[in-house]
Amino acid sequence: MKFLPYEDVPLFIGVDGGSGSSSGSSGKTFELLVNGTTYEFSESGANHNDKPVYTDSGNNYYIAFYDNMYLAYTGGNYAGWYVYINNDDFTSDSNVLSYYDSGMGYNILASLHTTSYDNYDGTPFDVDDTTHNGEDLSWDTESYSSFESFESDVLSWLEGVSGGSSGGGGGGQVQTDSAFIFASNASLSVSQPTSPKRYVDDNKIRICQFGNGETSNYPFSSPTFGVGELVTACFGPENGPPKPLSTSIFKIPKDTKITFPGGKHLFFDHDVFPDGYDYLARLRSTSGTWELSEGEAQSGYFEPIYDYSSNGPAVGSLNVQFYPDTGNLKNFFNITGISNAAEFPPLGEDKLTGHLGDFKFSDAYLKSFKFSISPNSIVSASASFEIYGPLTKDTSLSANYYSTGLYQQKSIPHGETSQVIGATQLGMDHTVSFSYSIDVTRVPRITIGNSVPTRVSKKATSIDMSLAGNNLNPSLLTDGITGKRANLSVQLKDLGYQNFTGDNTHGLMNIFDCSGVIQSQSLSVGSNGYLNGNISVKQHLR
Amino acid sequence: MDIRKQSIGSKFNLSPSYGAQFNFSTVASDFAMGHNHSIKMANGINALSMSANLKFTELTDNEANSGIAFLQNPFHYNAPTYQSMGAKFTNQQLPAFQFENSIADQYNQYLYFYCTKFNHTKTFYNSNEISATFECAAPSILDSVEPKLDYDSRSFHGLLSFTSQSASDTPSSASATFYIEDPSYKNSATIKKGQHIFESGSYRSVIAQADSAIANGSTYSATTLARFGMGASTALALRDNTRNSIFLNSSKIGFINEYPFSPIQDDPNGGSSNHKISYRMFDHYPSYTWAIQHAPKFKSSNVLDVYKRYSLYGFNANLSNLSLEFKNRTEEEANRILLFLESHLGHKKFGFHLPQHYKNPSLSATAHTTPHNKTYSTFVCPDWSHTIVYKDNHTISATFIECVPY
Repeated sequence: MKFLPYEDVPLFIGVDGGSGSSSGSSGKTFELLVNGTTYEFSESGANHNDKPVYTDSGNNYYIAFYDNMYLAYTGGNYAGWYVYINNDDFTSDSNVLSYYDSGMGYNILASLHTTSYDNYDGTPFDVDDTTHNGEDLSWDTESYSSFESFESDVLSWLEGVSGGSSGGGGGGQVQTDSAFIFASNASLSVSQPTSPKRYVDDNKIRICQFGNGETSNYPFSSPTFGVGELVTACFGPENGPPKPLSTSIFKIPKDTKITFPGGKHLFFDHDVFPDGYDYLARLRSTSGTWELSEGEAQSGYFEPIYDYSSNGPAVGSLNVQFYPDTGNLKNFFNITGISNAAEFPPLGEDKLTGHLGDFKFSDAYLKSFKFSISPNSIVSASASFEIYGPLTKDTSLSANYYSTGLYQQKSIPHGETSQVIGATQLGMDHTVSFSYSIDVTRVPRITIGNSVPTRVSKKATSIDMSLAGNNLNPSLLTDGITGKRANLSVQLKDLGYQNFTGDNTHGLMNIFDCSGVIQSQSLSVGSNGYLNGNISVKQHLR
Repeated sequence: MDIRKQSIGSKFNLSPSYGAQFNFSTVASDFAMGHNHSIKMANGINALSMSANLKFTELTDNEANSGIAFLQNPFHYNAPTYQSMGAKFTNQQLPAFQFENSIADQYNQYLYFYCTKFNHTKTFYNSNEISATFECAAPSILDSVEPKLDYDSRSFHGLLSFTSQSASDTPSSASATFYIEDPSYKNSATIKKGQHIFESGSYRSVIAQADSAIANGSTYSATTLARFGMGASTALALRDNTRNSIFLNSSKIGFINEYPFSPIQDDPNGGSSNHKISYRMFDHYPSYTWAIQHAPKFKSSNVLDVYKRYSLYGFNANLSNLSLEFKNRTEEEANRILLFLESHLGHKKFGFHLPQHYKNPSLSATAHTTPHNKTYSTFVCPDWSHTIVYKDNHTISATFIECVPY
């Protein structure tokens, strides 16, 4: 076992669209003539197939990348950029802009594509790429042979892509709601519920004849097997008709053994990937001289490699412990706030995107955020995200990070200067520790045909604050039956150096509030100890 | 009280979440005889019905309001307008509607639906759920177009005449002349990558390694995998766009190519002439757990309250009534199953292999047509349902009723 050498792993997170810079390009715009009207397209802020979706200012059309679009015109499937009439689904040809040609059927207006699905290598290409996997990608549909019938006023590029920028994390156009997280510990995991496919008698081999299923090979007759002898077996119950191998099987590797009664064995002589039409297979004997009776040929057992199906989306989990600084506490960690002031109704369901080291993710949602304060220590926080988008690897991300000025000292809140307001009303004169946590329930909506949610709703949101101090107010024990109200506020401050400029000179950095009811309180004391009081306050925010 | 919207659009524009269930059933009359031979007959051309139970989850208030407003709209107060000619109300008929992007990707986007039952649940602030049942409007079995077994010269098949090809585990070039007997409807066909082209008279096939279109009279020259070789024989190529499904999206079924010939079996009479079966075999494996309930038919007579006498009822008293589940199927296999069941319209018989031990150890030379003397049996499937569990994970539940195959 070999351990990788230690090094800092940059974690970059931003509201979706903010990390476009970290992927190496952003801000592309272009003009397109659609049905006689010129539209200027720019990034909509959404991603599809790991590529930005472009839309015009009136959201009349959307341009998105899809890797397997069926074109009736040619009868083939293609990967490319397509013009959509809405943003409901960027995978179906039913919402793709098309026109009907009575001679050829309906035609999808593809702006840029590989000439066949075979030429697509599985890596989405950019809207301004001119080649892919050795194939030229045409901007001009007029000049592309398969689309010669397009009229120039139906769809044409007026000019090429402009704008855009390159660079790693922090380069390009990093939005104000994006930030590097200075993590002391981070983990990224993905899980998906799956079920093995198991069908009735899918591990049984039944041979109805040795042959290709012709009438001439009935009734069943066994060859006399010799060492290394090859036979073609036709599967099915005795007397037929044949039945193919089960589709629950992913693969039957060459040399897989079939065990028949009486210690008789045959072996598959080639790999089989059952697709529902496998009535025949070539089998090999490794011994001789023997035969199979008709009954024995109906009772072969083997152990294939079974296939699996997924029962739900692959959901990633990003857990991070970090040091909060001025940058990353004001935006996406603020579950209680609305990042877009103009949004109505105010939901605050923005998704995040980012990268951990070289692993880039999208469609991430904050589930919880917590931090604690104690005297004479810096404030450490932790956060947990759920990730629904694809995870990709880009080896340039880390390298670019280390070459930027972002890899520097930052201001960090400290327990020495941070304050808890409102504790005295709860009977505590001296707070010795404090913790804050906020949790949100999120539920994805995944519509048929998709594996990424079209919405992840933000539901019940609650804040928990816990205080430990020297005392508590005894009257709390007898206060109202609906709970004793408590208002707590914590002011996070850095050390507030006054003789320096730059980091750790800000003083007050952030304020977190909790206005709820006391959930629990306790007093404890031991020999040679002090009386300790604990109070837990909970606010149901949403 | 209704949700009223100024503009609701002409199509229902919400997309259902996973878990959507589509139910199919046929309305048929049974023509049954005492020996349990029965024939199902569809009650008209609209006898095969489809309904869908859908959920639209985590909708925003705006989305839910639009959805409910759309579904409520046909039921708004509407003063009847009477037309004396024909003596009818002209504005009291419920209109059927379409889905904006088809009810689900694999279903026909041109289907019309009625919705007479829908629930709106507010689960949280700005989170809503709509569950609704959609009835497909007047699906006609005349829309089901399927080639008959073996060569169908009308508009379905073209003939590929292969030259002999030796068996090989690596793809090699193949050549076959292509001929369409009646090219007036469509004079070309498309062979898809991965498609099996079966040889007539056997179960050998060559597997196409790339898409290719061939026109009548031209030569199909392509790279194919012929693991078991190919004789100098004919094969069938389905002319695309000729099959048609009532419910399924044509782009999803156009290239489903089941074994096109009559299934081949040993001659049950022990001779050499009765090898072909005149109906299709359903070759899909059901999922575990499979329970087979036995409820043989019988007659009982009570001579006294404490004494009963039991008698056999009919010649085939213990025919099976199977409830099968086909779980964890890919979309392609689900489409194959759905198309197979749909094309049998709920009343046409097909063959199906029961598990290994349900068979007769040897064929009878005299009574081979009864289910108990065969290695497979024949069934009709009057109802089935399809659930989209998740992407590429489909479950199909079906009722197979065993019947005597003549």
